[in-house]
Amino acid sequence: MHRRAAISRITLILGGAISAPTLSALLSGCTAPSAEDFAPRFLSPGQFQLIGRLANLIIPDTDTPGARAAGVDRFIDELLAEYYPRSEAMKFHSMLSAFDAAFDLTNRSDEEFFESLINLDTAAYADDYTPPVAGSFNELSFHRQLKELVVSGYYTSEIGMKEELRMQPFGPARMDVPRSDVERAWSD
Amino acid sequence: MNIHTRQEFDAIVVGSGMSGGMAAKELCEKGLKTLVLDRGVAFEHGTSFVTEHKAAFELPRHGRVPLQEQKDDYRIQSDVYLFDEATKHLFVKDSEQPYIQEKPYAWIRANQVGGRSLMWARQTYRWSEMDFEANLRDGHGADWPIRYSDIEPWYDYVESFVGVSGQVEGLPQLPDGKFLEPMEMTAVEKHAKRSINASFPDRLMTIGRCAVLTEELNGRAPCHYCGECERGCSTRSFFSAVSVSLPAAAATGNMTLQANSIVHSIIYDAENDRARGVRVIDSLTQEMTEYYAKVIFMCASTLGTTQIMLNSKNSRFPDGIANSSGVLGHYLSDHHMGIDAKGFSDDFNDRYYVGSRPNGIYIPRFRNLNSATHRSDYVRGFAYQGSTWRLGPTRGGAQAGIGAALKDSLREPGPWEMQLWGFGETLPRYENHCRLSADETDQWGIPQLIVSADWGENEFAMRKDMAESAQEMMDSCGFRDIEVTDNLEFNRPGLAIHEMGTARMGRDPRTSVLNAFNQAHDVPNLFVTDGACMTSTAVQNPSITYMALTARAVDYAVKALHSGDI
Repeated sequence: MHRRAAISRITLILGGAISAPTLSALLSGCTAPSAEDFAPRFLSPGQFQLIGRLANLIIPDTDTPGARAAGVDRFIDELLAEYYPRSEAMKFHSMLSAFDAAFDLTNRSDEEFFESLINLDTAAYADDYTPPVAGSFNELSFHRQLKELVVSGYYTSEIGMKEELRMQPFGPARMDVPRSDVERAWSD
Repeated sequence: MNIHTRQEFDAIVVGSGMSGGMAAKELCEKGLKTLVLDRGVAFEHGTSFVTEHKAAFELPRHGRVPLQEQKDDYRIQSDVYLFDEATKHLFVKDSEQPYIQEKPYAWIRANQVGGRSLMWARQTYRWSEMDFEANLRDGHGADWPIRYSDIEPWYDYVESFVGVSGQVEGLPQLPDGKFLEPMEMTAVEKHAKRSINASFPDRLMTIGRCAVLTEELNGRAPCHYCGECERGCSTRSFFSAVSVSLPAAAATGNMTLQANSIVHSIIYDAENDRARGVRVIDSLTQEMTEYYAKVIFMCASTLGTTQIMLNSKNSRFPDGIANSSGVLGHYLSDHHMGIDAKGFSDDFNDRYYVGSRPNGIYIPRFRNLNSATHRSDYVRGFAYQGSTWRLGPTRGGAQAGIGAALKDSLREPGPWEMQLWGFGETLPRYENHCRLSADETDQWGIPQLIVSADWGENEFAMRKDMAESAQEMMDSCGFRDIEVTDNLEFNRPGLAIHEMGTARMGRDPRTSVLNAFNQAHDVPNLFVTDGACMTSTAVQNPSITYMALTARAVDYAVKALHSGDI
């Protein structure tokens, strides 16, 4: 890409209005798919399960694997363990607990919660959405933060880049082709 | 300290990047036994390209550099647009190589042989007659001792070696070169080119001129459009010292290339009024060695070269070698940037692209070219680089939608976006300077550099016009959600990585360090051909001009050596 296009790429990827800490995160990809005995580095086993569950509601299995199969739960755990400073990771940790409690997630099925999540998502991206005061819990802002992580993690994972979407081939470029010449959006 | 002495060379080149690589090639091809020194680590074509073609999920640390590490070790380098886990190793650790910012200044430095030629943006634009005349015409800065006709054949010469793709346009302010086939524009770029020219007949959009091959050249393959040149190019399609000029120098059998070699100072021979050689500290062992040669080329980058010269003090030159004028270290200038525009289009959703083009578009300077384009509020001018693309899948994190519907919608490419980035000429000012600290040294005992530079009134007046002109061009394209921002705070001096001017060329030895052949007025066998030599900044990306001046200076130096003049 052109000089400075890397910045632009990041800006556009994140929609331009996202906190700086997430920026470099999206350069990252995902680790191998979760194994049963995987031990999270930062999250508690229960929270790790919960992240996987929420991630798969945002990006489910369809004709291609979803977020959990792509390792997005591990991706988020790794970011919290090694990318974010401890204070920010701890903040995420407590917000996840607050989110869990607010929606009583332990006692609700995925199907049941998905309906609530759709409403939450609509409100979180509505025109009148206002970010909360720094440090205070807000379910809309937490959902946005989590969704950004899930989406960036999924589409930089091997499954997201190669199975769900397509990686650009190496070879001569064709910079102005009909959309119909290309099967799906490029992942990179 | 125990000082070792080593054998005599014909020539020593300090630095192995854009200028040093070209100096090495030219000197070696002319038969001179040449020692090339670089303070960075060894770095070789192919084997050192450890992150080339790695997808995000294949990178050992998934592409990200932990925020705390960025803050602790790369506080300055991490502001560079391409700094990430795949490129981190190409940058110095700020924590290990300190300098002093008297005013905020980003000194971006490479960590390896080949220097910043690995990470450059490959944009390649000739300077024009009006650039070499600018200082004389408006009185800012010393008159250049050369004109376009002096450098034109050398542009031809180095471009034929480097390989530059571009479109012939016939513009007086941006001379055409020896171009390979131009890269293609996207549908939106073609639209923007037409729209802008229809509304503003004196403004032109052209495809970027870049040092990336679109055709085979000297056995180097055309670009395969992976889009990540800075990670290294095993097909040698983009020009870097590592892949192209240093191998050419090595092929002669005349080059000795030595990494981990920090030049402490230049040795001066007062009896013969010549530079005798250099003192080199091995960065790993701390041992100092002296090397000797008949001619010395300083190509250590603007600030690096200047630091060495300032540190080369003796009774004849108490303020640094070749500094009888007192201007060494002064007139430090970088292009000012940070006027950025963006806009979106939904009108070309039936068009797309295949390939990650390592190049964008360019809108050449259109102000202060003649009486019709004269501005009364500032002198000189600016240009824009830019590019277009369709938004990628991670836009999904910033818009409503979850579940299967979200996945589905992201299989389609997003809306088109176009961005423009202004680059403006900066006037050379004496007060913008670097100097050595009297009491702070680095881990090798070399005095730290103090850098003190900021923007002036002319730059601020120009920025207003840069923003307004970008806005009206984006408007003329009919884009939606247009935003023009001034990111001056982020774009402090140094971040354009086009620093120049601290050992400038000139006609008068009392006000300049170098003559018309980049030869020190005071020391006939000492040449400076990196950005330090530049008498003004123009608005073009400068690397090709450094290389042309380098080849020209080598030609002059070798003839002078043979005739016994130096």
